[in-house]
Amino acid sequence: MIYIMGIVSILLLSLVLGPMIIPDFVWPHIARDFLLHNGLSDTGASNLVSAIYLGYRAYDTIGETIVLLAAVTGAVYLITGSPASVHGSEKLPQKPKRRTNIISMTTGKLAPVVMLFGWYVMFFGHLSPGGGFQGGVVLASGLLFIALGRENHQRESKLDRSGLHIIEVSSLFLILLLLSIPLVFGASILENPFGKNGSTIPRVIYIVGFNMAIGLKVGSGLTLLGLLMMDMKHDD
Amino acid sequence: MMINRILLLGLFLLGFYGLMVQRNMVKKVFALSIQNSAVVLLFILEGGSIGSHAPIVTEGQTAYVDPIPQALMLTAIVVGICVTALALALVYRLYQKYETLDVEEIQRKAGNEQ
Repeated sequence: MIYIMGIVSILLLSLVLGPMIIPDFVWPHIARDFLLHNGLSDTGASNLVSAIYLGYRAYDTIGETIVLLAAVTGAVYLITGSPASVHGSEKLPQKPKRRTNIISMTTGKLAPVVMLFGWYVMFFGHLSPGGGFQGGVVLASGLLFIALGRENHQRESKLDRSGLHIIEVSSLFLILLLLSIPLVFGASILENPFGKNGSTIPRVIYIVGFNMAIGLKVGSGLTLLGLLMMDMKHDD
Repeated sequence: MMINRILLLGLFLLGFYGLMVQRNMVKKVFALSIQNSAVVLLFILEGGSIGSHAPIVTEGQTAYVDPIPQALMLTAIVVGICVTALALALVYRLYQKYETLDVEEIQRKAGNEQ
């Protein structure tokens, strides 16, 4: 019964969506041409995607990081604050051993390389493909590699949950600081204050700063989520 | 170019079908993620139809793809990750309470409680 309902509904949905998606429309060139001529001089980033999401539409990006913060907060609350941890303290059934020598060796050797690549993607987001979000995700996967390799990551490392919380909150404050820097220079909020009328500071420094702050925030938030999900009870 | 869009429509409908028909909640969450991916791919495909080079300004190069859909989809990907993570946390909490992932089973158990 439910399968028939599903098939009927996707037929109806394809009747609605098909005429919107399938016909050929010519994509307009005007926005691309505007960005091509003005993007580099307006924002200082030669990667036009970075020029949009940290230059022209930086306000959107702030909202995006706040969405991420809300999701991490909600997930942390739902996972750690669950009532089942009360009777989860009783003797757990013997878990199958997840860690083998191959896994710990591979992740241990791979994690520094992955994290270095993450920092590269964060630093060079204005010149090459990448940026704060992508670099943060790569950084988080490097940290999660380390956590995968060690069974007792939480107890051995300084970078446990509270450390990651501190990094996340401080990078949020870094974003707020960067947001209000233009006010000191008499510009409006989120307007790039550097590099105007012959100043020696390159214009791109504002975008690099934002990329670093966002990368740290995304990296610590996603690592926190991954660690929480790796520590879930009920592994059977 | 048309076949690409038809395949993406199929991917989107596949995600929708999974969202409607599957009773396992984890599969529902991943069906939502598939729908998100289909929309992202559609935007990247459309924006890429006017050029052939990555939108990074270099000398003597004008045939870039449109960077605006890419910047938009960056936001969409991040929001998609957030939705998936929060939904999985909710599924985990429901599983802890009812010890099953089946939606109808959960509805039955929740009905019995009242």
